[in-house]
Amino acid sequence: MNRHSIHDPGAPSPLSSLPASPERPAVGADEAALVDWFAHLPEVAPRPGFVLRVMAALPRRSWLDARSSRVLVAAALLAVAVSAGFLIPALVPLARLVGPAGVLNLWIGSVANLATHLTDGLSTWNAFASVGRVLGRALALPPFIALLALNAALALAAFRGLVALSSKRSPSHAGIVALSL
Amino acid sequence: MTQPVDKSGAKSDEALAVEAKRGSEEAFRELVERFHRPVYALLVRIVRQPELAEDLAQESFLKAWKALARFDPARKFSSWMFKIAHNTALDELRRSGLETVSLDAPFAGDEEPPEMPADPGAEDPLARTLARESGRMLERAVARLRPAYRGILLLRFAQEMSYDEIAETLGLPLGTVKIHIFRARAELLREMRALGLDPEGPAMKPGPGGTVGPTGETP
Repeated sequence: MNRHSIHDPGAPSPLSSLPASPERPAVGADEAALVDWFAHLPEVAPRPGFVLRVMAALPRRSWLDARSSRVLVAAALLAVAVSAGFLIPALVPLARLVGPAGVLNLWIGSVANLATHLTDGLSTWNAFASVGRVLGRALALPPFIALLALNAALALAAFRGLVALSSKRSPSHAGIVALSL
Repeated sequence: MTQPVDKSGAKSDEALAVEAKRGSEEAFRELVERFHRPVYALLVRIVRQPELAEDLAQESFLKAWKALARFDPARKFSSWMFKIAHNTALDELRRSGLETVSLDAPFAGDEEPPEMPADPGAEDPLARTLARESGRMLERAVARLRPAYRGILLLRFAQEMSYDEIAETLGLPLGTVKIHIFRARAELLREMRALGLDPEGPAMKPGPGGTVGPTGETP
């Protein structure tokens, strides 16, 4: 925001230059004078720590807040509903074969099986995620980046050396290697 | 579309808003840092109660955070933010009927909103006193306006928004904004006169003793 210098004490009041009508709103100098006047309003601020209080009050976002995530979940639910429409009629003859107790038994067994596999999947995912986070953090460190760059440079130099060496012994082989680069 | 980085190399408000939209709390914190004073200044002059203004400012930023998904980066973030704050203030006034109170007092209650300390080296003491006094008189005149007029005058002359930006901020047609500003200025002129100021005469000037009064007289 601009803050203009103080009025010239002898200058006419900026309020004396009101526009003649709303069809001709004031522009330019007379409004600039009013901006000058408003620049003298005492500057006010909320109590210290306001920003921290706002940030502390922010509701945490979940992955479901994103519209794309919600669309994906809706699509998945729709797919489940559609497949259930096909699956249930197909399972009715089987249910007749095994009887109500058998259906209950199969249902409990399948839910337990699904839960076990989901738990296994999640624990595997968590382990990979932890490794990925650690590696990702390490990769972002400048010494690690420098080491990787050095390794890459050494590997490239060694490979070129090998190509040069093999070209002396067998030019046709070296040509194939060079073409593959 | 605004530039993502301004002349000083800092990220633009809109670029920060886009980052915040993607979930960056750091970017949103920077936006709160940039806008908390102007937003609070607008609110405290509309509702005339410092504590309520602070609550409304916080509510405005929380609303902004929740509504970021709908922010269009082609628009100015400042207009969008002031629109949220202005609407929040007017909703509160409508809900509680606050516009009928505290017209004469500079601010409601015993507590004045905290003022920023003046830079002691910025101007000479007399100029500082004159500036402060004319600011206080204007504050009193603005306080006597109806809240909608306070808001529109502050957006125009304190935030220095264009008519188009104000129209976008308030969701009003451009012609209506021009008429409102015209009427608000006329009302401000009347209030200045009612306070004993002579807006047609010279601006406030020091009396012989170096002190100033509302009309330039010495106390």
